[in-house]
Amino acid sequence: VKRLAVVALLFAAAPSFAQTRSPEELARIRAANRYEGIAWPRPTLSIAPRIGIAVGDMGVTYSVGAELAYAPGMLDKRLAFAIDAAWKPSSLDGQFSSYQLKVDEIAAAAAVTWHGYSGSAALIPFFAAGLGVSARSAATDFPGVGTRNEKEVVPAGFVSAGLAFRAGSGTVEVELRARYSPSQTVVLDGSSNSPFSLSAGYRFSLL
Amino acid sequence: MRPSIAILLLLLAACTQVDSFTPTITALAANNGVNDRTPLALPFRMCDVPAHFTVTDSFGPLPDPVVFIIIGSGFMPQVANATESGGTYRSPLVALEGPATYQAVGSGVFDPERISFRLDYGDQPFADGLYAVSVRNPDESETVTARLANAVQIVPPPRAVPSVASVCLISPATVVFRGGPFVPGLRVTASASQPDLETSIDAVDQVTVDIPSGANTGPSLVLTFLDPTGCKSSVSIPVSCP
Repeated sequence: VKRLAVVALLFAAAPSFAQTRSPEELARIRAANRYEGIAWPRPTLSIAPRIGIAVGDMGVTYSVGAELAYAPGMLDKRLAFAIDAAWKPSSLDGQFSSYQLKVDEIAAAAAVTWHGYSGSAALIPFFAAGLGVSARSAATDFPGVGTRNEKEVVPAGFVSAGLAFRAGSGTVEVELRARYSPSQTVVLDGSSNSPFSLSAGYRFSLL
Repeated sequence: MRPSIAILLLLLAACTQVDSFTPTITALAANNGVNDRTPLALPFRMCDVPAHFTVTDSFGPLPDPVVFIIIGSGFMPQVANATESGGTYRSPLVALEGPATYQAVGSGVFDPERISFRLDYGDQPFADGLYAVSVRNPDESETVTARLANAVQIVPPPRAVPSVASVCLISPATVVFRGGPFVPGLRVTASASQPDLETSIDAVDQVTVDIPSGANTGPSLVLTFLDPTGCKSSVSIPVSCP
């Protein structure tokens, strides 16, 4: 009789353990949870340092850059204006080691960016395009002979696209970029020296 | 600021700067494989036709090019379009300038003070005369052409015309030849197996040759005049005794 009484009590208590909620309440909870996952910072002022690899006609190299962006509030701060700067070293060996070419490039551009902030996506696309200048220093070293240096500042432009996701107080951004800045030096002669890059960075919110 | 003005300013911002090298020439040196930089006596003499040959398996005897070293400063090559197919390696432009202009081929810069000069023989003899050696670096902005005047003399093979119609070799004979050019270092031989004949250069257009008795047993004596450049010519003199 005692055992039967215990089992009856357990069955009677089961509904209270299940915490029955109404459909409306469940929907509200789900919406609240989803909002927490897509609360994009949408900073007014942000900086995004980046590091990546660049490829092209001067082989594979690395690049380091940063973007300072200002989003004035248009289109829910999806649109921003930015100053973008990057540095990239690259080198090339001539046939039979007859020469070695080393190129340092600093590119700076005024850019427009658009981040596709969405209330329902944890991963958003972003796009950018910019115009500016590219400053290059190309040193061609001839072993035993000497070094011929060429320097230039030429117009440059770029377009990029990438994906961003929340991480901490900022966002992690992965970007593909194509840059066009044909060189006017004799040694590079129209080359944009490894103009394609894949980079990753973190956007810090400053304001 | 209107976009068109901004773009114009960007284009105006384009500028380039390149290191410039100014060549000078001070001397010529032999291409002896040693960096001794011992100057050659100028003008450096070379034959207008091939003087030496190298026998190759595929093509038989091929004329050896004329090669020497130019001593100076500021010699600098250039690479163009390096990102396409290894680029184009441009050596300084080296040439002989005189009665004709001959562009050297494959000039190699050993260091800023030495560059090789190589001139290949073609189907036609080179034009005889005195030449300047010139060097200009390849960049278009480097407009200075260095020149060393009267540096090379291209000469024909020595022309030898005997002053006698025949020679008698019962006893030693002395024969005067006219023509030339006859310069110190001239060698005259009666055959490859015999030693050089005694010669005396009287003038650039006259040489006296002592021919020993029995230098030849045939009906004619063939003498070869060999210039120091390797230029050579042969002359045949009938052998007869009165």
